[in-house]
Amino acid sequence: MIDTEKDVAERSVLIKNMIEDVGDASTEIPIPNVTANVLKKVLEWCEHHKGDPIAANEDDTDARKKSTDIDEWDQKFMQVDQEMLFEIILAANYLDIKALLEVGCKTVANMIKGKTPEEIRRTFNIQNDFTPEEEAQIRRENEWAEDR
Amino acid sequence: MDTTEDLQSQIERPDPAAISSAFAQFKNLKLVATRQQLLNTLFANLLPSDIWHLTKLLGERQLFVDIISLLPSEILIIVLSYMSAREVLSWQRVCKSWRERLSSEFICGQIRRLEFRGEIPSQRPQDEDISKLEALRMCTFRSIAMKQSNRLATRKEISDLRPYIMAYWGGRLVVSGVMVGSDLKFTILYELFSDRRWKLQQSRESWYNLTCSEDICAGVTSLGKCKVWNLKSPSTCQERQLLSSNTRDMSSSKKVIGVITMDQEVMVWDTGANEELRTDSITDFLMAHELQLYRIGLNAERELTILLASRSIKNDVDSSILVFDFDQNLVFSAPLPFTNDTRLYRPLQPDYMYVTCSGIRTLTKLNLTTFEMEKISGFLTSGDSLVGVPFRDSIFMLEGSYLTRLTLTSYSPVEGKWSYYGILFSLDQTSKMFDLQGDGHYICARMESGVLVFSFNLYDYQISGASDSGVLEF
Repeated sequence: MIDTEKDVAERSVLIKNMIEDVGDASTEIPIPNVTANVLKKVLEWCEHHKGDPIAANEDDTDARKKSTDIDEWDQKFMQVDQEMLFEIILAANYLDIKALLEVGCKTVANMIKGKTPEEIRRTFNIQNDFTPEEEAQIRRENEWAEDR
Repeated sequence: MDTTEDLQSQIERPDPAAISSAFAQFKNLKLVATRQQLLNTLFANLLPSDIWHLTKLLGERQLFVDIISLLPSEILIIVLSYMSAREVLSWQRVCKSWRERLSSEFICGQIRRLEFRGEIPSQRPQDEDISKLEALRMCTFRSIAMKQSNRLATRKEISDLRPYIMAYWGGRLVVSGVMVGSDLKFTILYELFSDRRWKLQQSRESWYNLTCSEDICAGVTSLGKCKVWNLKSPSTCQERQLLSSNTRDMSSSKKVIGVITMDQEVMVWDTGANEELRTDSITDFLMAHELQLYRIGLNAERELTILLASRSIKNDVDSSILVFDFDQNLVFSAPLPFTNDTRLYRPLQPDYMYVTCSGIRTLTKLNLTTFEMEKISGFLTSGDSLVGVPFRDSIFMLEGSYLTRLTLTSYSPVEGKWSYYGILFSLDQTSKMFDLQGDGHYICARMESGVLVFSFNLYDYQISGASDSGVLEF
């Protein structure tokens, strides 16, 4: 069980709705799908961002930053191992914290952006399970989409 | 933290078996700080030779998570939305699971949207979400239904409506369908750029094919009647009966129309002179080479040529493009990669002999081939392309795509430049304004009660207040 302030927890749309349903902010809110460690980390982010204006839940694509730039504090916050990053993204999605989900996705995007398939394999320690023939075949299939 | 201490003590003894066992549990430690602490202990206690062993263990099991393979689709799309479509395609080479992931229909359907960076779907597509051309179909029928019965058509009513076809040329859109609440079929010609519209036909026959060009709009009915409207006086209509009622493809250029049927009948009709051109030598040529026709395109701009895409009867793999002049001489032929969804468009410019579009998975490939066999290709769209049209010095692709979107793309072979004008409309959003080029070419579209309202100022079409906006409503 983790104690937190109402306005911190309410960065999460899921928790906000739950508090509204219960009608009492001092109640325990069960969050079954997120482990305590990840939840702590998520709340740390919520705490830092509690003053931020909450983007409209509806269509906020215009306001959305189009680049993968991440603010400095968030960059530091996201300097975690891949598993933690993965779990933060899943938690942000589950808890419906749009801004955190976006930061997580941008972090993953920055990990793979501009990399060759070989560099990506190294980043995620992925084995290349294609035969050279198969790889050549895919290359041919996608040739037309490559820069001329 | 008992487990951590256990693990620490195990690691402090440099025994490979103990280390392996300790690291089997490493995964259960959620706090990064705890893992870090363990690692510190390790590196303080182990021999250099053990470190190699550990790095291997860690590398294989704990420190890496193949995030792309594991993320749910709706989150993966957000990640991919920061990438270019080309990049995403190149990553199909990473490994089999990435390939499977990145070529899934849903993900591919989104790839086209990646070009419009920053557009992140706010929700998953629902099962009932309509796709492809359904969006346009829907707003058309909705508005018709509103006129007819003062209510919107339901999705069921709309999806029950068949057949429904359309043609597009340089800003002209011909739509044919069934009127809700009656069995009347209608054909409407709508000019996107001038906001003119004509009701061309209201009958009990269905249309098999439609085409339009600068001067004419034509269609073939289910009874094999070929009807042509001269757009200078759309109330009059010329008619000609085909031998076979099963048309395979139809094309038009200036005042000339061409039709091919399933029975390999080729009709080329100069409607200006009201004269049918002879095609018997072409038919003989096809029979002699055991070819069957799949597509027809016309070019009345230069040398009056007929373009035919054919396929070998004996062998389904060999396909080719054949170019005849109107005296039925074969002037050009070349092998052509051909699938059932390949479409053939009339040449854009005299130098560009043919334009084809065909789907590769859910992406569409565009080919321009010149007489010199110089090939220009690129990919255009997710899903089925609505139509590709030469207009001015560019090819415009107006296309329906996943998530009920209509997008407009153009390619200028002269400048070698692709332009993405953007999503004309989506049913999720009420209004959109685009100035993607940053050069004052706007497209604006919004949905009002299921009716598409739009304005564009491509090239010299300027938006002046609301007067240049169109309402797709009949």
